[in-house]
Amino acid sequence: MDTIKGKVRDFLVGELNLPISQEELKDDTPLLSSRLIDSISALLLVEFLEKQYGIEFKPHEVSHDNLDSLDLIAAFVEDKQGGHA
Amino acid sequence: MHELKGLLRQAAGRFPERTAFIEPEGGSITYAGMLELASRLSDFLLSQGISPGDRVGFCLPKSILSAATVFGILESGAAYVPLDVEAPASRNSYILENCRARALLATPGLGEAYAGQFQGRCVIREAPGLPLVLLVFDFQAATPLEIPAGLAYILYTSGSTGMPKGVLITHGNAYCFVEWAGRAFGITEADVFSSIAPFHFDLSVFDLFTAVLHGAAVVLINHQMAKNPMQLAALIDDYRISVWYATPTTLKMMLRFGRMARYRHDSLRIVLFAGEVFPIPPLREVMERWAGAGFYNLYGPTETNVCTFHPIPAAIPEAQKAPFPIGRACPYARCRLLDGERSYALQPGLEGELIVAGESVMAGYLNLPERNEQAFWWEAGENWYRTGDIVRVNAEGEMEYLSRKDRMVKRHGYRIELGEIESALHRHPDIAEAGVVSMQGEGQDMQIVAFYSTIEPQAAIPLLSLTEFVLQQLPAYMAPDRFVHLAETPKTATHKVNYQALMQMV
Repeated sequence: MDTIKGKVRDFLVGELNLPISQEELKDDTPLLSSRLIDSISALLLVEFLEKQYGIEFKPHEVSHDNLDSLDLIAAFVEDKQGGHA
Repeated sequence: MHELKGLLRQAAGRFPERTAFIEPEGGSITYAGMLELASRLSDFLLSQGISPGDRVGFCLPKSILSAATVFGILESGAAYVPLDVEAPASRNSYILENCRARALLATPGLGEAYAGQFQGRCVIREAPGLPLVLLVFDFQAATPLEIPAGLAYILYTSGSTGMPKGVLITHGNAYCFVEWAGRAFGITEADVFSSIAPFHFDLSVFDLFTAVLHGAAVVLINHQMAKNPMQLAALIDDYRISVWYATPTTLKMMLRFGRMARYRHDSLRIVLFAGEVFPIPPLREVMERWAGAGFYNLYGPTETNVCTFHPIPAAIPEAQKAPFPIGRACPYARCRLLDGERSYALQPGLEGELIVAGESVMAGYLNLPERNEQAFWWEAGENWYRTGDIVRVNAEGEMEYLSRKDRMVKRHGYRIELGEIESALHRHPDIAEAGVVSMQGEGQDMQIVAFYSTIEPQAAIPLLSLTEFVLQQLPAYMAPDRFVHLAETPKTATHKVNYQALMQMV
Protein backbone atom coordinates (compact mmCIF):
# COMPACT_ATOMS: atom_id res chain seq x y z
CA MET A 1 0.00 0.00 0.00
CA ASP A 2 2.76 2.41 0.94
CA THR A 3 4.60 1.80 -2.27
CA ILE A 4 1.50 2.56 -4.37
CA LYS A 5 0.98 5.82 -2.54
CA GLY A 6 4.67 6.66 -2.80
CA LYS A 7 4.78 6.02 -6.54
CA VAL A 8 1.58 7.98 -7.16
CA ARG A 9 2.86 10.83 -5.00
CA ASP A 10 6.06 10.91 -7.05
CA PHE A 11 4.04 10.94 -10.24
CA LEU A 12 1.67 13.70 -9.12
CA VAL A 13 4.34 16.03 -7.84
CA GLY A 14 7.12 15.09 -10.25
CA GLU A 15 5.36 14.37 -13.54
CA LEU A 16 2.13 16.32 -13.29
CA ASN A 17 3.84 19.23 -11.55
CA LEU A 18 1.14 19.58 -8.95
CA PRO A 19 1.66 22.89 -7.16
CA ILE A 20 2.22 21.14 -3.84
CA SER A 21 5.23 19.52 -2.19
CA GLN A 22 5.57 15.81 -1.44
CA GLU A 23 5.25 16.62 2.26
CA GLU A 24 2.11 18.72 1.81
CA LEU A 25 0.44 15.98 -0.21
CA LYS A 26 -1.10 13.83 2.52
CA ASP A 27 -2.75 10.46 2.00
CA ASP A 28 -6.17 12.06 2.41
CA THR A 29 -5.56 15.39 0.63
CA PRO A 30 -8.51 15.84 -1.75
CA LEU A 31 -7.21 15.86 -5.31
CA LEU A 32 -10.14 16.33 -7.67
CA SER A 33 -12.75 17.88 -5.41
CA SER A 34 -10.19 20.50 -4.32
CA ARG A 35 -9.33 21.10 -8.01
CA LEU A 36 -5.70 20.38 -7.25
CA ILE A 37 -5.97 18.03 -10.22
CA ASP A 38 -7.88 19.11 -13.33
CA SER A 39 -9.73 16.73 -15.60
CA ILE A 40 -6.80 16.28 -18.01
CA SER A 41 -4.35 15.52 -15.20
CA ALA A 42 -6.83 13.00 -13.82
CA LEU A 43 -6.81 11.20 -17.16
CA LEU A 44 -3.02 11.23 -17.26
CA LEU A 45 -3.04 9.74 -13.78
CA VAL A 46 -5.38 6.99 -14.97
CA GLU A 47 -3.00 6.20 -17.83
CA PHE A 48 -0.10 6.06 -15.40
CA LEU A 49 -1.94 3.71 -13.02
CA GLU A 50 -3.02 1.41 -15.82
CA LYS A 51 0.48 1.12 -17.19
CA GLN A 52 2.22 0.89 -13.84
CA TYR A 53 -0.06 -1.71 -12.29
CA GLY A 54 -1.41 -3.57 -15.30
CA ILE A 55 -5.00 -2.73 -14.46
CA GLU A 56 -7.80 -1.24 -16.51
CA PHE A 57 -10.31 1.40 -15.54
CA LYS A 58 -13.82 0.97 -16.84
CA PRO A 59 -15.18 4.29 -18.16
CA HIS A 60 -17.38 4.93 -15.10
CA GLU A 61 -14.50 4.12 -12.73
CA VAL A 62 -12.69 7.30 -13.76
CA SER A 63 -14.39 9.20 -10.96
CA HIS A 64 -13.92 11.05 -7.70
CA ASP A 65 -14.86 7.85 -5.88
CA ASN A 66 -11.62 6.20 -6.96
CA LEU A 67 -9.25 9.08 -7.58
CA ASP A 68 -9.90 11.80 -5.04
CA SER A 69 -7.02 10.97 -2.67
CA LEU A 70 -3.93 8.79 -2.41
CA ASP A 71 -5.90 6.57 0.00
CA LEU A 72 -8.70 6.04 -2.53
CA ILE A 73 -6.29 5.50 -5.41
CA ALA A 74 -4.28 2.89 -3.51
CA ALA A 75 -7.45 1.10 -2.40
CA PHE A 76 -8.78 1.03 -5.95
CA VAL A 77 -5.52 -0.28 -7.40
CA GLU A 78 -5.24 -2.98 -4.74
CA ASP A 79 -8.84 -3.98 -5.28
CA LYS A 80 -8.30 -4.27 -9.03
CA GLN A 81 -5.12 -6.26 -8.59
CA GLY A 82 -6.83 -8.54 -6.09
CA GLY A 83 -9.65 -9.05 -8.56
CA HIS A 84 -7.20 -10.17 -11.22
CA ALA A 85 -5.35 -12.57 -8.97
CA MET B 1 -46.12 32.88 -32.97
CA HIS B 2 -42.72 31.21 -32.98
CA GLU B 3 -41.93 30.23 -29.44
CA LEU B 4 -39.90 27.64 -27.62
CA LYS B 5 -42.80 27.33 -25.23
CA GLY B 6 -45.12 25.14 -27.28
CA LEU B 7 -42.46 22.78 -28.68
CA LEU B 8 -42.74 20.09 -26.05
CA ARG B 9 -46.54 20.02 -26.24
CA GLN B 10 -46.40 19.68 -30.04
CA ALA B 11 -43.86 16.86 -29.84
CA ALA B 12 -45.92 15.07 -27.19
CA GLY B 13 -48.95 15.33 -29.51
CA ARG B 14 -47.10 13.86 -32.48
CA PHE B 15 -44.84 11.35 -30.74
CA PRO B 16 -46.31 10.58 -27.30
CA GLU B 17 -44.65 7.18 -26.96
CA ARG B 18 -41.23 8.05 -28.39
CA THR B 19 -38.31 8.45 -26.02
CA ALA B 20 -37.69 12.12 -25.34
CA PHE B 21 -34.86 12.20 -22.79
CA ILE B 22 -32.39 9.61 -21.59
CA GLU B 23 -30.34 9.87 -18.44
CA PRO B 24 -27.42 7.43 -18.58
CA GLU B 25 -27.57 5.33 -15.39
CA GLY B 26 -30.94 6.96 -14.66
CA GLY B 27 -33.59 5.75 -17.12
CA SER B 28 -35.56 7.52 -19.80
CA ILE B 29 -38.85 9.30 -20.34
CA THR B 30 -41.27 9.50 -23.28
CA TYR B 31 -42.56 12.72 -24.78
CA ALA B 32 -45.94 12.17 -23.10
CA GLY B 33 -44.19 11.60 -19.78
CA MET B 34 -42.01 14.65 -20.22
CA LEU B 35 -45.00 16.84 -20.99
CA GLU B 36 -46.75 15.55 -17.89
CA LEU B 37 -43.70 16.32 -15.74
CA ALA B 38 -43.14 19.78 -17.22
CA SER B 39 -46.86 20.58 -16.82
CA ARG B 40 -46.76 19.60 -13.16
CA LEU B 41 -43.82 21.93 -12.64
CA SER B 42 -45.55 24.71 -14.54
CA ASP B 43 -48.78 24.26 -12.51
CA PHE B 44 -46.74 24.34 -9.32
CA LEU B 45 -44.97 27.55 -10.38
CA LEU B 46 -48.26 29.19 -11.31
CA SER B 47 -49.77 28.13 -7.98
CA GLN B 48 -46.90 29.92 -6.25
CA GLY B 49 -47.64 33.18 -8.02
CA ILE B 50 -45.11 33.02 -10.87
CA SER B 51 -46.42 35.01 -13.80
CA PRO B 52 -45.33 35.68 -17.40
CA GLY B 53 -42.25 37.87 -17.61
CA ASP B 54 -40.90 36.58 -14.29
CA ARG B 55 -37.43 35.07 -14.15
CA VAL B 56 -37.10 31.66 -12.55
CA GLY B 57 -33.65 30.27 -11.83
CA PHE B 58 -32.71 26.64 -11.40
CA CYS B 59 -29.65 25.02 -9.91
CA LEU B 60 -29.76 21.30 -10.64
CA PRO B 61 -27.38 18.71 -11.99
CA LYS B 62 -28.25 17.78 -15.56
CA SER B 63 -31.00 15.19 -15.49
CA ILE B 64 -34.47 14.43 -16.79
CA LEU B 65 -35.74 16.58 -13.94
CA SER B 66 -33.58 19.59 -14.88
CA ALA B 67 -34.63 19.30 -18.53
CA ALA B 68 -38.25 19.18 -17.37
CA THR B 69 -37.56 22.28 -15.30
CA VAL B 70 -36.52 24.20 -18.43
CA PHE B 71 -39.76 23.26 -20.17
CA GLY B 72 -41.86 23.74 -17.03
CA ILE B 73 -40.58 27.27 -16.51
CA LEU B 74 -41.22 28.13 -20.16
CA GLU B 75 -44.69 26.57 -19.98
CA SER B 76 -45.54 28.84 -17.04
CA GLY B 77 -44.69 31.83 -19.22
CA ALA B 78 -41.61 32.75 -17.19
CA ALA B 79 -38.04 32.90 -18.48
CA TYR B 80 -35.48 30.40 -17.24
CA VAL B 81 -32.15 31.37 -15.70
CA PRO B 82 -29.82 28.36 -15.60
CA LEU B 83 -27.21 28.39 -12.83
CA ASP B 84 -23.97 26.47 -12.86
CA VAL B 85 -24.14 23.81 -10.12
CA GLU B 86 -20.35 23.94 -9.92
CA ALA B 87 -20.09 27.74 -9.57
CA PRO B 88 -19.52 29.38 -6.20
CA ALA B 89 -22.73 30.24 -4.36
CA SER B 90 -21.72 33.92 -4.31
CA ARG B 91 -21.75 34.08 -8.11
CA ASN B 92 -25.10 32.32 -8.39
CA SER B 93 -26.57 34.55 -5.68
CA TYR B 94 -25.37 37.58 -7.61
CA ILE B 95 -27.12 36.30 -10.74
CA LEU B 96 -30.41 35.65 -8.91
CA GLU B 97 -30.39 39.11 -7.45
CA ASN B 98 -29.18 40.77 -10.64
CA CYS B 99 -32.12 39.44 -12.67
CA ARG B 100 -34.44 39.81 -9.67
CA ALA B 101 -35.44 36.22 -10.00
CA ARG B 102 -38.93 35.57 -8.74
CA ALA B 103 -37.98 32.07 -7.73
CA LEU B 104 -35.32 29.36 -7.75
CA LEU B 105 -35.81 25.64 -8.26
CA ALA B 106 -33.09 23.55 -6.63
CA THR B 107 -32.33 20.27 -4.96
CA PRO B 108 -33.43 20.36 -1.31
CA GLY B 109 -29.79 20.63 -0.16
CA LEU B 110 -28.88 23.52 -2.45
CA GLY B 111 -32.24 25.14 -1.76
CA GLU B 112 -31.52 25.21 1.97
CA ALA B 113 -28.11 26.75 1.33
CA TYR B 114 -29.52 29.51 -0.87
CA ALA B 115 -32.37 30.12 1.56
CA GLY B 116 -29.65 30.80 4.14
CA GLN B 117 -27.99 33.31 1.82
CA PHE B 118 -31.24 35.17 1.22
CA GLN B 119 -32.58 35.01 4.74
CA GLY B 120 -35.58 37.24 5.23
CA ARG B 121 -35.98 37.77 1.51
CA CYS B 122 -37.33 34.40 0.48
CA VAL B 123 -39.69 31.64 1.47
CA ILE B 124 -39.03 27.99 0.76
CA ARG B 125 -41.68 25.61 -0.59
CA GLU B 126 -41.55 21.90 -1.32
CA ALA B 127 -42.50 20.86 -4.84
CA PRO B 128 -45.24 18.26 -4.34
CA GLY B 129 -44.07 14.77 -5.28
CA LEU B 130 -40.74 15.93 -6.71
CA PRO B 131 -37.24 16.02 -5.17
CA LEU B 132 -37.17 19.79 -5.56
CA VAL B 133 -37.69 22.90 -3.52
CA LEU B 134 -38.78 26.30 -4.71
CA LEU B 135 -37.42 29.48 -3.18
CA VAL B 136 -39.77 32.38 -3.78
CA PHE B 137 -37.89 35.66 -3.56
CA ASP B 138 -38.86 39.12 -2.65
CA PHE B 139 -36.17 41.38 -4.10
CA GLN B 140 -37.26 44.92 -3.33
CA ALA B 141 -36.05 47.54 -5.78
CA ALA B 142 -36.92 51.15 -6.40
CA THR B 143 -36.80 50.96 -10.18
CA PRO B 144 -38.30 48.20 -12.30
CA LEU B 145 -36.02 46.17 -14.58
CA GLU B 146 -36.49 46.54 -18.30
CA ILE B 147 -37.48 43.09 -19.47
CA PRO B 148 -38.11 42.58 -23.20
CA ALA B 149 -41.42 41.06 -24.28
CA GLY B 150 -41.22 37.33 -24.95
CA LEU B 151 -38.10 36.72 -22.87
CA ALA B 152 -37.22 32.99 -22.99
CA TYR B 153 -34.01 32.75 -20.96
CA ILE B 154 -31.07 34.68 -19.59
CA LEU B 155 -27.54 33.31 -19.94
CA TYR B 156 -24.84 34.94 -17.87
CA THR B 157 -21.46 35.46 -19.47
CA SER B 158 -18.17 36.64 -18.10
CA GLY B 159 -18.07 40.44 -17.70
CA SER B 160 -15.02 42.69 -17.89
CA THR B 161 -16.24 44.74 -14.92
CA GLY B 162 -15.82 41.72 -12.71
CA MET B 163 -19.47 40.72 -12.62
CA PRO B 164 -21.25 38.42 -15.06
CA LYS B 165 -23.60 40.03 -17.59
CA GLY B 166 -27.11 38.72 -18.28
CA VAL B 167 -27.75 38.11 -21.99
CA LEU B 168 -31.48 38.49 -22.67
CA ILE B 169 -32.72 36.02 -25.27
CA THR B 170 -36.32 36.11 -26.45
CA HIS B 171 -38.32 33.21 -27.85
CA GLY B 172 -37.94 34.77 -31.31
CA ASN B 173 -34.15 35.09 -30.93
CA ALA B 174 -33.81 31.41 -30.10
CA TYR B 175 -36.53 30.00 -32.32
CA CYS B 176 -35.06 31.21 -35.63
CA PHE B 177 -31.82 29.33 -34.89
CA VAL B 178 -33.56 26.22 -33.56
CA GLU B 179 -35.81 26.03 -36.61
CA TRP B 180 -33.01 26.67 -39.11
CA ALA B 181 -30.70 24.11 -37.49
CA GLY B 182 -33.39 21.44 -37.74
CA ARG B 183 -33.71 22.03 -41.48
CA ALA B 184 -29.99 22.56 -42.15
CA PHE B 185 -29.03 19.27 -40.54
CA GLY B 186 -32.06 17.27 -41.68
CA ILE B 187 -33.15 16.40 -38.14
CA THR B 188 -35.94 13.82 -37.74
CA GLU B 189 -37.60 11.91 -34.91
CA ALA B 190 -35.18 9.06 -35.57
CA ASP B 191 -32.22 11.14 -34.39
CA VAL B 192 -30.56 10.74 -31.01
CA PHE B 193 -28.90 13.93 -29.73
CA SER B 194 -26.08 14.33 -27.27
CA SER B 195 -26.52 17.02 -24.66
CA ILE B 196 -22.97 17.61 -23.46
CA ALA B 197 -22.97 21.34 -22.76
CA PRO B 198 -24.48 22.42 -19.44
CA PHE B 199 -27.76 24.35 -19.67
CA HIS B 200 -26.05 27.62 -18.74
CA PHE B 201 -23.95 27.33 -21.90
CA ASP B 202 -25.61 28.35 -25.17
CA LEU B 203 -24.70 25.16 -27.03
CA SER B 204 -27.48 23.53 -24.98
CA VAL B 205 -30.16 25.50 -26.85
CA PHE B 206 -29.65 23.36 -29.95
CA ASP B 207 -29.52 20.11 -27.96
CA LEU B 208 -32.77 20.78 -26.12
CA PHE B 209 -35.00 22.62 -28.52
CA THR B 210 -33.99 21.42 -31.98
CA ALA B 211 -34.34 17.86 -30.74
CA VAL B 212 -37.78 18.50 -29.24
CA LEU B 213 -38.98 20.41 -32.32
CA HIS B 214 -38.49 17.20 -34.32
CA GLY B 215 -39.36 14.63 -31.65
CA ALA B 216 -35.80 13.29 -31.46
CA ALA B 217 -34.31 11.72 -28.31
CA VAL B 218 -31.72 13.53 -26.16
CA VAL B 219 -29.04 11.81 -24.08
CA LEU B 220 -28.44 14.06 -21.07
CA ILE B 221 -24.77 13.97 -20.16
CA ASN B 222 -24.05 15.42 -16.73
CA HIS B 223 -21.04 17.59 -15.92
CA GLN B 224 -18.95 14.72 -14.58
CA MET B 225 -19.53 12.50 -17.60
CA ALA B 226 -18.88 15.45 -19.90
CA LYS B 227 -15.33 15.63 -18.53
CA ASN B 228 -14.74 11.92 -18.91
CA PRO B 229 -13.87 11.16 -22.54
CA MET B 230 -13.93 7.41 -21.91
CA GLN B 231 -17.56 7.64 -20.89
CA LEU B 232 -18.40 9.97 -23.78
CA ALA B 233 -16.98 7.51 -26.30
CA ALA B 234 -18.95 4.68 -24.69
CA LEU B 235 -22.20 6.68 -24.63
CA ILE B 236 -22.22 7.18 -28.41
CA ASP B 237 -22.15 3.42 -28.81
CA ASP B 238 -24.53 2.63 -25.93
CA TYR B 239 -27.27 4.95 -27.15
CA ARG B 240 -26.51 4.99 -30.88
CA ILE B 241 -26.15 8.76 -30.81
CA SER B 242 -26.55 10.37 -34.25
CA VAL B 243 -26.11 14.10 -33.56
CA TRP B 244 -23.07 15.19 -31.58
CA TYR B 245 -22.50 18.82 -30.62
CA ALA B 246 -19.41 19.70 -28.58
CA THR B 247 -16.47 22.02 -28.34
CA PRO B 248 -13.23 21.09 -30.14
CA THR B 249 -11.67 20.63 -26.68
CA THR B 250 -14.10 17.82 -25.90
CA LEU B 251 -13.44 16.16 -29.25
CA LYS B 252 -9.66 16.43 -28.78
CA MET B 253 -9.94 14.88 -25.32
CA MET B 254 -11.96 12.01 -26.78
CA LEU B 255 -9.24 11.35 -29.37
CA ARG B 256 -6.53 11.37 -26.74
CA PHE B 257 -8.21 9.47 -23.92
CA GLY B 258 -11.48 8.03 -25.23
CA ARG B 259 -10.26 4.60 -26.42
CA MET B 260 -12.32 5.31 -29.47
CA ALA B 261 -11.26 2.21 -31.40
CA ARG B 262 -13.19 0.01 -28.96
CA TYR B 263 -16.57 1.41 -29.85
CA ARG B 264 -19.01 1.42 -32.73
CA HIS B 265 -19.57 5.03 -33.70
CA ASP B 266 -21.27 4.40 -37.02
CA SER B 267 -24.54 5.87 -35.72
CA LEU B 268 -23.07 9.38 -35.91
CA ARG B 269 -24.64 11.34 -38.73
CA ILE B 270 -24.00 14.99 -37.83
CA VAL B 271 -21.06 16.35 -35.84
CA LEU B 272 -21.20 20.02 -34.89
CA PHE B 273 -18.49 21.96 -33.17
CA ALA B 274 -18.39 25.52 -31.91
CA GLY B 275 -16.96 27.72 -29.24
CA GLU B 276 -13.35 27.80 -30.29
CA VAL B 277 -10.99 27.24 -33.19
CA PHE B 278 -10.48 23.59 -34.23
CA PRO B 279 -6.88 23.06 -35.41
CA ILE B 280 -6.65 20.90 -38.54
CA PRO B 281 -4.60 17.88 -37.29
CA PRO B 282 -7.06 16.74 -34.58
CA LEU B 283 -10.04 17.62 -36.79
CA ARG B 284 -8.59 15.42 -39.53
CA GLU B 285 -8.13 12.62 -37.04
CA VAL B 286 -11.68 12.77 -35.68
CA MET B 287 -13.09 12.94 -39.22
CA GLU B 288 -11.14 9.85 -40.22
CA ARG B 289 -12.54 8.03 -37.24
CA TRP B 290 -16.11 9.20 -37.82
CA ALA B 291 -15.97 8.95 -41.58
CA GLY B 292 -19.73 8.50 -42.03
CA ALA B 293 -20.70 11.82 -40.43
CA GLY B 294 -21.07 15.32 -41.83
CA PHE B 295 -19.03 17.91 -39.92
CA TYR B 296 -19.95 21.57 -39.46
CA ASN B 297 -18.20 24.49 -37.83
CA LEU B 298 -20.75 26.75 -36.11
CA TYR B 299 -19.92 30.24 -34.91
CA GLY B 300 -21.71 32.78 -32.77
CA PRO B 301 -21.35 34.47 -29.40
CA THR B 302 -24.09 33.92 -26.81
CA GLU B 303 -25.39 37.39 -27.75
CA THR B 304 -26.25 36.41 -31.34
CA ASN B 305 -26.64 32.66 -30.97
CA VAL B 306 -25.14 30.72 -33.89
CA CYS B 307 -24.95 33.24 -36.73
CA THR B 308 -22.51 31.73 -39.23
CA PHE B 309 -21.66 28.18 -40.24
CA HIS B 310 -19.28 26.32 -42.46
CA PRO B 311 -19.68 22.75 -43.73
CA ILE B 312 -16.35 20.90 -43.52
CA PRO B 313 -15.52 19.05 -46.77
CA ALA B 314 -15.69 15.26 -46.41
CA ALA B 315 -12.01 15.01 -47.32
CA ILE B 316 -9.78 17.71 -45.90
CA PRO B 317 -7.30 18.73 -48.61
CA GLU B 318 -3.75 17.58 -47.86
CA ALA B 319 -2.48 21.15 -48.15
CA GLN B 320 -4.99 22.53 -45.60
CA LYS B 321 -3.09 23.98 -42.65
CA ALA B 322 -5.18 26.92 -41.45
CA PRO B 323 -8.34 26.20 -39.46
CA PHE B 324 -11.56 26.24 -41.48
CA PRO B 325 -13.49 29.50 -41.87
CA ILE B 326 -16.43 30.36 -39.65
CA GLY B 327 -18.20 30.55 -42.98
CA ARG B 328 -21.30 32.41 -44.10
CA ALA B 329 -24.20 34.01 -42.29
CA CYS B 330 -27.15 31.82 -41.33
CA PRO B 331 -30.31 32.91 -43.20
CA TYR B 332 -31.73 34.85 -40.23
CA ALA B 333 -28.49 36.79 -39.61
CA ARG B 334 -26.74 39.59 -41.48
CA CYS B 335 -23.03 40.30 -41.15
CA ARG B 336 -20.94 43.37 -41.84
CA LEU B 337 -17.41 44.38 -40.92
CA LEU B 338 -16.62 47.39 -38.82
CA ASP B 339 -13.36 49.18 -39.42
CA GLY B 340 -12.84 52.36 -37.47
CA GLU B 341 -15.97 54.49 -37.76
CA ARG B 342 -17.43 52.82 -40.83
CA SER B 343 -19.00 49.49 -41.57
CA TYR B 344 -18.71 47.57 -44.82
CA ALA B 345 -20.58 44.80 -46.62
CA LEU B 346 -18.57 41.59 -46.80
CA GLN B 347 -16.25 41.36 -49.76
CA PRO B 348 -13.14 39.27 -50.39
CA GLY B 349 -9.98 40.63 -48.80
CA LEU B 350 -11.80 42.81 -46.27
CA GLU B 351 -10.82 42.59 -42.61
CA GLY B 352 -12.54 44.08 -39.55
CA GLU B 353 -14.70 43.50 -36.51
CA LEU B 354 -17.67 41.29 -37.28
CA ILE B 355 -21.01 42.94 -36.49
CA VAL B 356 -24.26 41.00 -36.66
CA ALA B 357 -27.91 42.00 -37.00
CA GLY B 358 -31.06 39.95 -37.40
CA GLU B 359 -33.63 37.88 -35.61
CA SER B 360 -31.22 35.92 -33.43
CA VAL B 361 -29.45 38.92 -31.90
CA MET B 362 -30.14 39.38 -28.18
CA ALA B 363 -32.46 42.04 -26.88
CA GLY B 364 -29.52 43.37 -24.84
CA TYR B 365 -27.71 42.90 -21.55
CA LEU B 366 -29.92 43.08 -18.52
CA ASN B 367 -29.87 46.40 -16.75
CA LEU B 368 -26.58 47.58 -18.28
CA PRO B 369 -27.52 50.61 -20.41
CA GLU B 370 -23.93 51.78 -20.83
CA ARG B 371 -22.68 48.33 -21.75
CA ASN B 372 -25.52 48.06 -24.28
CA GLU B 373 -24.45 51.35 -25.86
CA GLN B 374 -20.99 49.90 -26.42
CA ALA B 375 -22.23 46.49 -27.46
CA PHE B 376 -24.24 47.67 -30.44
CA TRP B 377 -23.49 49.58 -33.59
CA TRP B 378 -26.49 51.51 -34.88
CA GLU B 379 -26.90 51.51 -38.64
CA ALA B 380 -29.68 51.45 -41.20
CA GLY B 381 -32.29 51.64 -38.47
CA GLU B 382 -31.19 48.61 -36.53
CA ASN B 383 -28.84 47.40 -33.85
CA TRP B 384 -25.78 45.44 -34.94
CA TYR B 385 -24.08 43.45 -32.21
CA ARG B 386 -20.34 44.07 -32.10
CA THR B 387 -18.81 40.62 -31.64
CA GLY B 388 -15.32 41.90 -30.82
CA ASP B 389 -14.04 39.20 -33.19
CA ILE B 390 -11.75 40.31 -35.97
CA VAL B 391 -12.46 38.37 -39.17
CA ARG B 392 -11.24 38.41 -42.77
CA VAL B 393 -13.27 37.58 -45.86
CA ASN B 394 -11.55 35.01 -48.08
CA ALA B 395 -11.66 34.71 -51.86
CA GLU B 396 -14.78 32.53 -51.65
CA GLY B 397 -16.59 35.21 -49.64
CA GLU B 398 -16.43 33.24 -46.38
CA MET B 399 -15.36 34.71 -43.08
CA GLU B 400 -12.19 33.54 -41.36
CA TYR B 401 -11.67 34.18 -37.67
CA LEU B 402 -8.46 36.08 -36.92
CA SER B 403 -8.40 37.25 -33.30
CA ARG B 404 -10.16 38.93 -30.37
CA LYS B 405 -10.41 42.67 -30.20
CA ASP B 406 -10.48 42.96 -26.41
CA ARG B 407 -9.14 40.90 -23.57
CA MET B 408 -11.63 38.10 -23.74
CA VAL B 409 -10.23 34.63 -24.29
CA LYS B 410 -11.78 31.22 -24.68
CA ARG B 411 -10.87 28.09 -22.87
CA HIS B 412 -12.68 24.80 -23.44
CA GLY B 413 -15.29 26.84 -25.25
CA TYR B 414 -15.97 29.08 -22.26
CA ARG B 415 -15.59 32.81 -22.56
CA ILE B 416 -13.32 34.35 -20.04
CA GLU B 417 -12.75 38.05 -19.54
CA LEU B 418 -9.25 38.30 -18.12
CA GLY B 419 -10.40 41.46 -16.35
CA GLU B 420 -12.92 39.44 -14.35
CA ILE B 421 -10.12 37.28 -12.96
CA GLU B 422 -8.20 40.42 -12.05
CA SER B 423 -11.24 41.80 -10.26
CA ALA B 424 -11.50 38.60 -8.26
CA LEU B 425 -7.83 38.81 -7.27
CA HIS B 426 -8.23 42.45 -6.33
CA ARG B 427 -10.70 41.38 -3.67
CA HIS B 428 -7.96 39.51 -1.83
CA PRO B 429 -6.94 41.49 1.26
CA ASP B 430 -3.20 40.98 0.69
CA ILE B 431 -3.08 41.68 -3.04
CA ALA B 432 -2.00 45.13 -4.14
CA GLU B 433 -2.37 44.66 -7.87
CA ALA B 434 -3.04 41.88 -10.34
CA GLY B 435 -2.46 41.49 -14.07
CA VAL B 436 -3.75 38.43 -15.92
CA VAL B 437 -2.54 37.35 -19.35
CA SER B 438 -3.26 34.40 -21.60
CA MET B 439 -0.73 32.48 -23.62
CA GLN B 440 -1.50 30.34 -26.63
CA GLY B 441 1.47 28.03 -26.92
CA GLU B 442 2.24 26.19 -30.16
CA GLY B 443 0.13 23.03 -30.16
CA GLN B 444 -0.72 23.50 -26.50
CA ASP B 445 -3.83 24.50 -24.68
CA MET B 446 -4.26 28.12 -23.79
CA GLN B 447 -2.78 29.03 -20.42
CA ILE B 448 -3.95 31.77 -18.11
CA VAL B 449 -1.21 33.28 -15.99
CA ALA B 450 -2.02 35.61 -13.09
CA PHE B 451 0.67 38.03 -11.94
CA TYR B 452 0.15 39.74 -8.65
CA SER B 453 1.94 42.01 -6.25
CA THR B 454 1.22 42.10 -2.54
CA ILE B 455 0.79 44.91 -0.05
CA GLU B 456 3.77 43.45 1.84
CA PRO B 457 6.06 43.23 -1.21
CA GLN B 458 7.97 40.11 -0.18
CA ALA B 459 4.99 38.16 1.12
CA ALA B 460 3.88 35.78 -1.62
CA ILE B 461 0.51 34.17 -0.84
CA PRO B 462 0.58 30.36 -0.44
CA LEU B 463 -0.64 28.82 -3.67
CA LEU B 464 -3.34 26.67 -2.12
CA SER B 465 -4.95 29.54 -0.28
CA LEU B 466 -4.79 31.71 -3.39
CA THR B 467 -6.42 29.00 -5.50
CA GLU B 468 -9.06 28.50 -2.86
CA PHE B 469 -9.74 32.23 -2.74
CA VAL B 470 -10.17 32.41 -6.51
CA LEU B 471 -12.47 29.39 -6.59
CA GLN B 472 -14.74 30.97 -4.01
CA GLN B 473 -15.47 33.70 -6.51
CA LEU B 474 -15.06 32.25 -9.96
CA PRO B 475 -16.06 29.05 -11.71
CA ALA B 476 -13.22 26.56 -12.06
CA TYR B 477 -12.82 27.13 -15.80
CA MET B 478 -11.77 30.71 -15.04
CA ALA B 479 -9.10 29.80 -12.51
CA PRO B 480 -5.57 30.77 -13.64
CA ASP B 481 -3.20 27.93 -14.53
CA ARG B 482 -0.30 29.70 -12.86
CA PHE B 483 0.22 32.43 -10.31
CA VAL B 484 3.36 34.53 -10.34
CA HIS B 485 4.23 36.78 -7.43
CA LEU B 486 5.93 40.06 -8.34
CA ALA B 487 7.48 42.66 -6.08
CA GLU B 488 5.97 45.26 -8.37
CA THR B 489 3.64 45.12 -11.39
CA PRO B 490 5.17 46.66 -14.54
CA LYS B 491 3.37 49.84 -15.70
CA THR B 492 2.87 51.67 -18.96
CA ALA B 493 3.46 55.40 -19.37
CA THR B 494 -0.19 55.98 -18.48
CA HIS B 495 0.18 53.99 -15.25
CA LYS B 496 -1.80 51.04 -16.49
CA VAL B 497 -0.69 47.44 -16.08
CA ASN B 498 1.82 46.74 -18.83
CA TYR B 499 0.51 43.51 -20.31
CA GLN B 500 3.19 43.40 -22.98
CA ALA B 501 5.83 43.33 -20.26
CA LEU B 502 3.91 40.62 -18.38
CA MET B 503 3.69 38.47 -21.52
CA GLN B 504 7.46 38.55 -21.79
CA MET B 505 7.79 37.32 -18.23
CA VAL B 506 5.71 34.18 -18.82
